[in-house]
Amino acid sequence: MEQVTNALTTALAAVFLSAMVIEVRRRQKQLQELYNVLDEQDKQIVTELDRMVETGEIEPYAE
Amino acid sequence: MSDTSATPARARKSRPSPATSAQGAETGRHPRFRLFILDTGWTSPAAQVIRDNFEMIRSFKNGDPLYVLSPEQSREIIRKHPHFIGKDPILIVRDMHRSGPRDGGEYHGFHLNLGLIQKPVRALAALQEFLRFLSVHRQSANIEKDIRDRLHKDGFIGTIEVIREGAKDAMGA
Repeated sequence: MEQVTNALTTALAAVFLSAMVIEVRRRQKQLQELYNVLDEQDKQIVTELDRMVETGEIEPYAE
Repeated sequence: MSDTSATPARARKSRPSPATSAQGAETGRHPRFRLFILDTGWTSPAAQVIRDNFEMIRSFKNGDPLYVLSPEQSREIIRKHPHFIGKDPILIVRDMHRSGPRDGGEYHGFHLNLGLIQKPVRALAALQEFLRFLSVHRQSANIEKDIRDRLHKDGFIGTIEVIREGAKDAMGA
């Protein structure tokens, strides 16, 4: 009976830890989606924004 | 879509500002960053946070030029890059002290896709954190490394932070 209890406890602990790891990774991914360095997609937009600055299409917000 | 032309941020024209555009020359330094705000005009809590706190963003930009795209300009860009639909308002910070494409390098900087946040309180906290990070790390030689270090906190501390954020969510904070 004790062995069964131990096995069950171990299994539950493993499930809990796995769920925790998955949740941590999910949240880290969410955070990176929200707030991160410029990726390839961002860089395409920045190229365009830079062009707009250079051509005067957009100008700094007035103080 | 909502018409944001009536919001305080939009009401004031993003007019040419010789003082601002010549800021580098005046202060004897080149601006460290270029800040861009893209807001297509969705009626969303995050967009409202940006519009309501626009003066705060201006206050903490530390002399760097801030470019606010009109809803039309923002939509035009996002139309070309549809994977950004629903992620705006987006704040993009371009690091001007790192080499750019003209120097054979590539763009450096970071973004905040504020539109991904649904709760106004969380959106405001993210905006404040973003501005805090920008101010604290503006002298950093490699701000991208600072961001990666911060984001990729693994192990025990990262886990504790995630649990803490989860608890905040559960409390509706």
